[in-house]
Amino acid sequence: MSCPDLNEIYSYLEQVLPGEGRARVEEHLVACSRCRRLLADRCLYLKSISGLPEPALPPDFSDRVMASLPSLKSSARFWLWLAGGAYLLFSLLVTILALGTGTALFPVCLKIFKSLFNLAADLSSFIFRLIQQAYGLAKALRIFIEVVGGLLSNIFPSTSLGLAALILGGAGSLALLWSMLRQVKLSDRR
Amino acid sequence: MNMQKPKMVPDEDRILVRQSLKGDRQSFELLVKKYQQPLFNYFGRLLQERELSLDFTQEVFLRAYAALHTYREKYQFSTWLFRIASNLLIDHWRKKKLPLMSIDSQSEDEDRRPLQVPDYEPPVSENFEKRELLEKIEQAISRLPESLKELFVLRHMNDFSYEEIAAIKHLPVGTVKNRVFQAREWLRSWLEEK
Repeated sequence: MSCPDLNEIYSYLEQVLPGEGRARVEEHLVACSRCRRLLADRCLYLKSISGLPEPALPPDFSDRVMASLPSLKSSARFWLWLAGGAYLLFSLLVTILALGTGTALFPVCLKIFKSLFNLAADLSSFIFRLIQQAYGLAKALRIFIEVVGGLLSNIFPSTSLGLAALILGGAGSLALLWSMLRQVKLSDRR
Repeated sequence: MNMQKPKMVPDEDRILVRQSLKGDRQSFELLVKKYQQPLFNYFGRLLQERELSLDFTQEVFLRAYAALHTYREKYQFSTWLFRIASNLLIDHWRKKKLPLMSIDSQSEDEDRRPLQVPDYEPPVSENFEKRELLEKIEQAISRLPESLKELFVLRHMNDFSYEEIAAIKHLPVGTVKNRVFQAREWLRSWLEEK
């Protein structure tokens, strides 16, 4: 069997040689003293390379890096800047037009500004009311669940029994509601 | 024999990147503390100038922070960071107009050529005292051709696997392996001559 090439010797030392190749090299090493010598030498050589000292960093290096960091680029910030820029551009355009064309255009510009302001105010009050309603609904739902849960746990000691009662109760209520609605419909027809 | 140093945990990096993107600067500081020494080793060996290496290490973190939103989690953070470092170094060499020999300039045939076992060679490691040997290796690394030096440093100073180096440098794994083997033998023959 021929001697392995140096690539194989290095791969063997670094444990990146596949199983079959590894077994072949090991088999060869038993019989070949020259390759054993070569392997021992490359092993020492690689150990010396990995033993090279690391250059020392200043102790405050990470603080220095952190102090010089810029602000993060986020998509929300990008859109905010874009909206602000567009509004500024629009204002500049309106001002230039108003000054350039005299007073004739000024009331029109004022109207646009007024409409924009009203739109923004309406939108913000709508969002505010929506948040308020959602918060109130979530609060009421939480209280309702707590009360029903407390009642059920007092009546039914076991959870599965309570759940079964809840499902049966719900189904009964729905059936009652459906029959009532049916009666109303029938009386309307008559 | 295991020559590998303990590897970094990639998942931990991904979590830290996610938190940094949410504005948590402490998470990014942890990444800085984790990678400042490996990056400084890399630049230190390749630039051979302490102050410049410090500046470059800092610059890599600044660039990484500014471009953190472009990082994709399918890649390892360490690979992504060292790709920034490698590009920074290439820009620097271009600006300084150093004779930059492209890593890709050698032919694939040359890469695949096996390195033959010599009939006789004196054992290098036994020729020098340990401290002297380390000094000689340091000198030899600084004399390595640029095309081989960076790959050698990534493999032996930064402990990257051949696959990781291939991802950093956008090269085939086989090419990386052969260049690192060539660098080792070049270094060894230089030591043999001394």
